[in-house]
Amino acid sequence: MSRNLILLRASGLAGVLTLLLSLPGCVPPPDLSRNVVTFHLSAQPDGLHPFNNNSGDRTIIFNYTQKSLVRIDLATLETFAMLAESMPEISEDQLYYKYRIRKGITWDNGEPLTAKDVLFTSKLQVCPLTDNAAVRPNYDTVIDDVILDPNDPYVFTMKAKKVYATNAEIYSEIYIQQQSYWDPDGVLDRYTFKDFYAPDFKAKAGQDLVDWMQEFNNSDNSYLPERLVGLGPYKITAWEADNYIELTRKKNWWGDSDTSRYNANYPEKIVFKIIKDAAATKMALKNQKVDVSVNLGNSSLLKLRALDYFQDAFDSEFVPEYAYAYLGLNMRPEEVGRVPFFADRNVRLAMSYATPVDEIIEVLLYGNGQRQTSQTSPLVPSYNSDLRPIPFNLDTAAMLLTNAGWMDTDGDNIRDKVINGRKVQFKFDMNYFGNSTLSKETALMMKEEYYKVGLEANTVPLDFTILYKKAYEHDFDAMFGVWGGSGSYSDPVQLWHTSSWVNKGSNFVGFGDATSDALIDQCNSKVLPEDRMPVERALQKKIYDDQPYVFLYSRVRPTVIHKRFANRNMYSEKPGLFTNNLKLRPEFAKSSSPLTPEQL
Amino acid sequence: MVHFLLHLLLQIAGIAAVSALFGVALQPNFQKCAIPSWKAFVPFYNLWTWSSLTKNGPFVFLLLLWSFPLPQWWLIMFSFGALLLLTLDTYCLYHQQLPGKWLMALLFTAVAGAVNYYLDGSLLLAANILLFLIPVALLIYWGRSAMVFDRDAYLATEFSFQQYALKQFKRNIPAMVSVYVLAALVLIAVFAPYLANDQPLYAKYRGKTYFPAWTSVFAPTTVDTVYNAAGKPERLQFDITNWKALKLDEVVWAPIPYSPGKSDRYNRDYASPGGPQKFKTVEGEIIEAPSRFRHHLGTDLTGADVLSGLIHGTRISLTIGLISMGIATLIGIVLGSLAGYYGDTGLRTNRIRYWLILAGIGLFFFYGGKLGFWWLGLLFFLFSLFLGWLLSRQKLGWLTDEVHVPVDTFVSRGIEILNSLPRLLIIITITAIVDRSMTLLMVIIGATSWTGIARFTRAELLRTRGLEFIDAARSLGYKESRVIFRHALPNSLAPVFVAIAFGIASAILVESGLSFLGIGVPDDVVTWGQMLSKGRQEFEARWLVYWPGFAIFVTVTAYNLIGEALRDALDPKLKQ
Amino acid sequence: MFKYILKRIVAFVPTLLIISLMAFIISISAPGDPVERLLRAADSEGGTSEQSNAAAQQRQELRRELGLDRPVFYFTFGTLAQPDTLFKIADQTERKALVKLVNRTGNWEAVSRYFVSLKAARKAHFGINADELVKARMVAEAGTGDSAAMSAADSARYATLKNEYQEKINLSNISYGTLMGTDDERVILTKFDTLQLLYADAGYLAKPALALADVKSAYAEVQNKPTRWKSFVPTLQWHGYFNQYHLWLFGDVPFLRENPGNRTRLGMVRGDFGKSFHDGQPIREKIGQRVMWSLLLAGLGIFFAYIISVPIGIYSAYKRNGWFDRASSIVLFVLYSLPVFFVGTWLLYMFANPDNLVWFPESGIMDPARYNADTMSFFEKVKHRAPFFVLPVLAYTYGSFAFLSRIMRVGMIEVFGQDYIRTARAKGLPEKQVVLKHALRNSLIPIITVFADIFPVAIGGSIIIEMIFSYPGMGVMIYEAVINQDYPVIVTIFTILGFFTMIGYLVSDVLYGIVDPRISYK
Repeated sequence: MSRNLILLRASGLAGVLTLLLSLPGCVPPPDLSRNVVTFHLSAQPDGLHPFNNNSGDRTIIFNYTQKSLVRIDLATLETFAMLAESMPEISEDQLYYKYRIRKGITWDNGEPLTAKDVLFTSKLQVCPLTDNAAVRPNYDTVIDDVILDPNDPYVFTMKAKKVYATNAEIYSEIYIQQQSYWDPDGVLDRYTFKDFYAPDFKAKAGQDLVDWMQEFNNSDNSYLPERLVGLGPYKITAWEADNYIELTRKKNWWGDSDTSRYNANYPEKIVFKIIKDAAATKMALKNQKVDVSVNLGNSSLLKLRALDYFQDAFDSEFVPEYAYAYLGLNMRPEEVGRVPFFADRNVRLAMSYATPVDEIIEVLLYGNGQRQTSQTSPLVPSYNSDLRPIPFNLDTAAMLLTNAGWMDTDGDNIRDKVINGRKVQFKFDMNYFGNSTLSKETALMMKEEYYKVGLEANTVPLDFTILYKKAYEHDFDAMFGVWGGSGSYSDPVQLWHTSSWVNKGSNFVGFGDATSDALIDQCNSKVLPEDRMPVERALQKKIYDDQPYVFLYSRVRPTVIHKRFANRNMYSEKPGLFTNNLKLRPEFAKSSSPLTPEQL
Repeated sequence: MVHFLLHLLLQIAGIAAVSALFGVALQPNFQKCAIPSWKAFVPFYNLWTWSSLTKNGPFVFLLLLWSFPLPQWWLIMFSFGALLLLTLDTYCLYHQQLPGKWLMALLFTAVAGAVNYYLDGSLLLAANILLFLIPVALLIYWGRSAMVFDRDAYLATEFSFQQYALKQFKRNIPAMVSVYVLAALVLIAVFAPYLANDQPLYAKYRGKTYFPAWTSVFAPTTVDTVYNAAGKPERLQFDITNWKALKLDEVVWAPIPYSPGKSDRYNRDYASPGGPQKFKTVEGEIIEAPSRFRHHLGTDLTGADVLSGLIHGTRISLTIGLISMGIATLIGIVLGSLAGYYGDTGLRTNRIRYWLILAGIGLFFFYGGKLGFWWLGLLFFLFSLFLGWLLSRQKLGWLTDEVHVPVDTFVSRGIEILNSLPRLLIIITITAIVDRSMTLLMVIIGATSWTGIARFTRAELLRTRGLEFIDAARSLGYKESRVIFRHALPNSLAPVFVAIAFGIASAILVESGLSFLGIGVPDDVVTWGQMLSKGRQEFEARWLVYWPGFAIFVTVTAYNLIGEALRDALDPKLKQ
Repeated sequence: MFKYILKRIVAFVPTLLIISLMAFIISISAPGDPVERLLRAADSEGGTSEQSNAAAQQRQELRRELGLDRPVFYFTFGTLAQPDTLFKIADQTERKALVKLVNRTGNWEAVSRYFVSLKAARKAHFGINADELVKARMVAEAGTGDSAAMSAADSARYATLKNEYQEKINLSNISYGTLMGTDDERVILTKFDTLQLLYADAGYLAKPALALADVKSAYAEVQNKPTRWKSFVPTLQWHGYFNQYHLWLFGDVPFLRENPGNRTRLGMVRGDFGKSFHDGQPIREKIGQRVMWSLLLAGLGIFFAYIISVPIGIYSAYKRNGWFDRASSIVLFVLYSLPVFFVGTWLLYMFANPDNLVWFPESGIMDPARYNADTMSFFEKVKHRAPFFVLPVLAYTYGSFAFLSRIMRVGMIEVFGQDYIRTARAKGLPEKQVVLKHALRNSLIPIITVFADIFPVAIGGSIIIEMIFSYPGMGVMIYEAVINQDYPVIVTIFTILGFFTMIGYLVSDVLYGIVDPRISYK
């Protein structure tokens, strides 16, 4: 009897447990009637401080919570006025930029946005005590002073330090902050730009400022939702770490009447769901837990497209990006005592000929990717269209190598050459970012082809920092890299100017000579895009001729938007789409059932 | 060549280790053997003895061997057949003859074969697990009854623990089966390059005879030039030539004509085992793959053959499991026995000597490690030793007082610390710093998993050091080291073997877990865990999840079962 | 009893210190530079954006802020030749080169002079502008510096000259950078020669040429005045409390003051674990946001594991070799040796996949589109969250309950063999009472001992599970910290885990004492 009793207990317990487990065992079908956009983020932004953090995901969110004076239009790639009434009036000498702020723009507490706020923001952006070390150089090299108009609180003038390409767009990335919120008793007013630029500023900065900055830089300002205030149509209402960030539409926001692409605010909420893992992301899309995603793998999207129910639910596209992948070839290796494999242009050209770019695109990107001929994407207006991609041709490559004096004298199928008295085998290291499967597969495919022309590439997976540390030290033969380009003009100095090679900037490969430097300087000295364009093209030609990189492909961004939203636009420029103007389609507004094909 | 030798070395070490493990554990004259008998290290010696233990054992052993070079579904059906055959054998050993066991075996084999040939994906897995469990269940059932059956017989005879343990182990049928499975796995590991290789085993091309698969192991970049009819030279580098594209006069392909991780352009993007697969003929037209060139377990994203990956993965898993546990055992036994034997008060020396030894070690690392003059370091070390020895003979009062070396405290603290951190975490952290390499991984796993063994050894020695025969040995004036390692230790090893067996299992799990997370093993090495993680990226490719999972499961189970069996067999000793 | 506990707690301290030290050693021996990482955010393909590039001086700032400009520990073992200020050289390669040089020659004064002269040489290049130089030269030769106004030949010459000048300036400039990073005599000397040649016919590089002279003389001194013996004398350099470890442990604020700002540190002992290298977030918050979920997962997992395993264990022990025993032992064994990542993946594939069954959600711990913290009642919240936990908890539990019930079974069997059970039976107590009262109590002991290891297992075991179900817990955080070499986080985790495990041991010991009256801590 008793053992039956035990058995009973045991089985009873088991039963209860199974019940417990299966009780919630049915997830409700996705509720498609709610006017909420769920946006997939593959990583949590490293804080949303208006100045101090710098991750890509942060800017995505700022598109909805913050506003800048001017910004780039995703479609046309031209800069246009946002909070300003129009683009600045540029003085003759192109050093003074006069802005006029739109009337009727109010902060959440009803105060109007005035030039004082802009002044405050600009100061913060360049103040050495702000924790924005990473981006400050982009600003303190440009903004010399901000002069308020004494009789019009909505007008101010930005005085530039020198005539420089980014002068006119300098305010496109600066998110205007409210002075009366951050700095009610005007600590910053006591300091001028002069003070900030004084070499010994840190020494003689007053205690008041130091303390205030302590407060301002405090990491609470980058995490606590209530502190993350801005001019945008949405405000952050919840942030659960590694889980989601919730944006809610502001009540009676200044721009409510405005329905332009950047000020529209149709969804009640925008939820940024953080799913780090590719497989899980795919599942979430299958289950319609995510409405919008801009970072899937190409193959995942293709696989998803094969499913009818996915096709019914989602509108998906491969949108070309400006970011491009390259194999950097160290042009000046002797400087760090490495073997000069790629010092000779012929060899670099040979590398380009021996690289099966088209096949890589076909295989690894599933045909969704374009060839890149130089540092500028074909989509950008300033692209030099007479540059032709270098075809895949092993014979030409072999010939070029032989011309360069590399041949296989000892019959081990690896080319060799006598360099200052020493016979050197053509065995070079190919560094790449170990966590990226794409780079890995690419590396392996290229290795195969190089081997056929008698070059032995030794693929070296490296951690991110080490990869770039080696790069900055010029301590590499060849390295994989990706430049996350943008449609707007990006200063070529960092990447291509010889100075940036000398003081270990991003010119890893040591490209450049006086001509290229001259071209770059010219570029930067032109404020207006149309003046700049021919010079940019010349620079592209120059780079194309020297082949410092084996230019691989410009990536595509697999973009997915749920069909329950109308007004779905996708752009090449980051972040690829604007969720605030996604309109919930009326036929969904009622029904909460999982959608059926005929509803679409 | 060096690489090949290293591999060979690892292989032999591995086999030796596995043989030694059970060899030592089950040597009939186990008590007396101070060091494991040389036979223990002869590869397969023990496996063979076991296989000869049961009736038809040799037959089963051979059957397992034969069955492996065949395509996968044959492989599985034969092993299942063998499994059942063994089961029936056991039954017949202890009960009266069962008629028609061959018939039954054949029937079962057929079923298994059919299942594996026609089913796919989740069903296939389910069926296989079922097919695997039926015989195992029977084995356990009959095995137990067998044990019950002749325990009395043993109690009747005069009692020798080792023989008892040995017999117990032999009676534990699941364990015996695991031993066979293991043997098979080891064989697969050893012959992997000849089981799965995209270079033919034998090829005749333009009148020349080659053995590419053979050269692929230890001379991968063999180059040869042949002349075609027109007398035009054609350069043939074995590792990059696409042998399938050559017009070979005669050719014998490896059972699985694909290498692990090598992408097959025509079956890229998860070709399913059952689905259509393409093959490019010598003439260059692309046809539906003939069954000889099918990917029997499908392919992954880049078109790498899964089965070949599995086969070569066996090599990795076993090597990692055995070598790392070997290291762990070494550390564990040494530290454990020192701690257990000496305790905190056992090891006495006088102060000055103690200090000088420590100083000597310090100096050794200073000159050796920091300045790179190892010989100088060694010199200093020896000198301080000598000095210590010298001074310890003088009477220097306080300096030469006797002090205890708290060995036990040190060791137990160390164990405590290691245990207080998740092993996976430690390993991940370390592997993230050091650059990826198999050897390092093994060392790391080994260096972090010795605690269990050390604990057991310590406990055992704490017990044994009090026993008479140790005192006897001491009183005979043997050196301490001799007493520890030749008298005390061998009689304390019993539980350690259990720990080792389980340890290997967990080491394999850790490795596959690491490569599942994408850390640890180098990129170009194909492992089970890594394949599984690929499969996870693409759920539709079930075969990428199930087969590696199944492989890991089988291996781990085998080791666990053996561990279990050892524990059961040695249980009374543990209980004492 | 109390005394015993106290003793144990005191014994924690050294262990914890050792653990934190271990983690610390790992962290400092890591390659890569946290400052670089903080300044550059990688995208998934290891790309980076052109814009984010900070000046060296700003790197220094960050260094100071992270306390990386301090020596690592209270003391370092060095040689008499090495100064105790080496740590001040930020660049690892330069530091390595210097150390090698010093160890080779033993003459720190000379070496440092050499190093300084190199720096000076680099400085000498500032303000040398190829363009101006060439212009000046052209003015001298062709009469005009304006390329537009020149003749074709001149302007061509202008271009080539400028090219040549630029080349040479860059070459000589970078050469010094290379010199700073090497200690190889051959390399150094060849560099000297090449530079000499370079300067020979380049008057405009007078300043660097002069600098080179100094460098050479300095190096000559290094070579000629070696004090080799110094590098053979081991020394212990004392840095005092101004070091990274101390900063991490005790912070840099007087002990009884509260934190004046977020650039100062209170130190581990005051609950301030410092900032993450990866995203500047305070580690305290980072952990705070996640630890609860991890504990919940672990708690549920362990709870279910015990709930299931104990009855199974008891019954299969009670009916030893019965059908239930055999069946369960097989099943448990299979479960026991199934790898967790396989099971996790399979569960996800089976029960959260529209192609099969959609019983449970696929990831996360709640559906932000539905969840509403304000309007939902507690029960609703639970009901909302429950499904999200099923799969992770399942994946978490199965292995451990197999393990536990096996232990339980063994324990029970042993107990059933004991005399007092027989006596209890003989006394004619009801079977139920015998089993559940007498037997169970004692067979709990082995299970309790397992309890100690729960903490490391809970965190360590959850890494993979959290990865698979993208569950926002510590596991994922740890994994990322490791991948991003975010060492402050790792060190903290190590120490905290160590601490809790100690507690676990203590608790299990105490429980042990409570359950088993035979044990006393007197």
